[in-house]
Amino acid sequence: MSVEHLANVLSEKTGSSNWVVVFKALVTVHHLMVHGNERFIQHLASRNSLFTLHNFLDKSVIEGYTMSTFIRRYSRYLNEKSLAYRLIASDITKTKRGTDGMMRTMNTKELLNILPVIQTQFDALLNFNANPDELTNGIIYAAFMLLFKDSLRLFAAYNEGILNLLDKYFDMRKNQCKESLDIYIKFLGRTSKLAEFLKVAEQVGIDQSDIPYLTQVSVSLLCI
Amino acid sequence: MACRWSVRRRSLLEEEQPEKPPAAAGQQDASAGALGSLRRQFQRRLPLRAVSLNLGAGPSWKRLGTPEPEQQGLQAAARSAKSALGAMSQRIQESCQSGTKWLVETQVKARRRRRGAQTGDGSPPHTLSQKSTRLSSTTHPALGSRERGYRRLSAQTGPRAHLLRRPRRDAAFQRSPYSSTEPLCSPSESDSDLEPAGAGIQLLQKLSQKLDKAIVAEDSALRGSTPCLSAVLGRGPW
Repeated sequence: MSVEHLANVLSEKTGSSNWVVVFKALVTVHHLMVHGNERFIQHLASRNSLFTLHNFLDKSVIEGYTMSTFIRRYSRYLNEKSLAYRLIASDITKTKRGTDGMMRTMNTKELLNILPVIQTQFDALLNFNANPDELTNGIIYAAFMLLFKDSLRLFAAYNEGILNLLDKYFDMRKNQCKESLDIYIKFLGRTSKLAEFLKVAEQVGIDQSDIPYLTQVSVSLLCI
Repeated sequence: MACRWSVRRRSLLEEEQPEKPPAAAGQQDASAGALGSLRRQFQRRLPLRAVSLNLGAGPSWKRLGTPEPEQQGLQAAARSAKSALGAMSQRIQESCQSGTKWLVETQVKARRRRRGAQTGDGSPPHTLSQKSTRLSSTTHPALGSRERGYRRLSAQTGPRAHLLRRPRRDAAFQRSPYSSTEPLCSPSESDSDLEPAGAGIQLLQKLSQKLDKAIVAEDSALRGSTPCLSAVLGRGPW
């Protein structure tokens, strides 16, 4: 089966009215993006439209209302993930990290272009916003685990980008400084929300050794 | 010069004595005499007298006489200079990027200098108040505050005024916060600004390390078993 055919089959499944079918299709797409061949996400990024599930609602069963909310949020995240791949031309969750990694060696102009893209994807991820008592079945739990995996890698890249940005701050022009400050302020907000997300992960039974402890980042950098 | 002033002061005081308020039975001659003496009084240069300020005590007003730790005096002086010149310094920094670097570099240099001084003789840094008192004591060692005031008055209008203006200007400039190579804010204030910033960046670096560890731990846990989606999702209405 070719990548294109596989993507078409899964896209067709998301057209179903049954929340279970739709949710499973989305989880399969996400799984292939994370663990599968990179050609799959490349193909999704090259398509003009992906999942149009912003109005999805399954009223046939009681849990359909709740699960439909998560389907809408989840599909939006997968769309943002594909779009980010198209804009950055690589999967940010799989890029090399560290002092010689992609985000640490980027120049100022690229940083100011790419960090907002990462912010948007990260917002969509955090917007899934599931409580521990809402992860009541295997499908939403599988979706949450994939999101947890993505959150660590995405935030790691985000954090490295911010470190690089702060490093370059005093060499920037005035308008770049303003943009950087705006990005940094948003980063602080996202850090707090990630801490809440990781708390949920801890409560649903994810191993604590896999969950980093986020200490509150100082706001004093804003006073520079 | 000091002797001349004290003699002149004595003569002025003597002249003032007959100019006390006139008797109740004042006539035109007496009133004319009083007016004349008043006129003469205003024509002469009167000695400066202490002025009582009609200001209510508030939390921001402090008596000059009360002893305060020198550090607090320095910080208050630095803060008042900073607020008064804040707009100007902002404009300078905005127009010239290197000004910001200079400020950071100067603070770093000031810190290094202080560390060197502390390891050397351990003497505290010169404060603005110390500098001003030192300056006044070196230029007029024998004069009291009143005599210094007489001297200033005569110097402003006397024949040698233009010669005295330059050293006074230089002295004023030396007292100005901009003349010093020290940073505008006190060393303790600049350190207090930079230290949490450095700590914040270190926090982010530590966070980056923690995230890397968590990701590596997760990857190593998954390496043993390939993730089986069908087992997780279970059989369903496909």
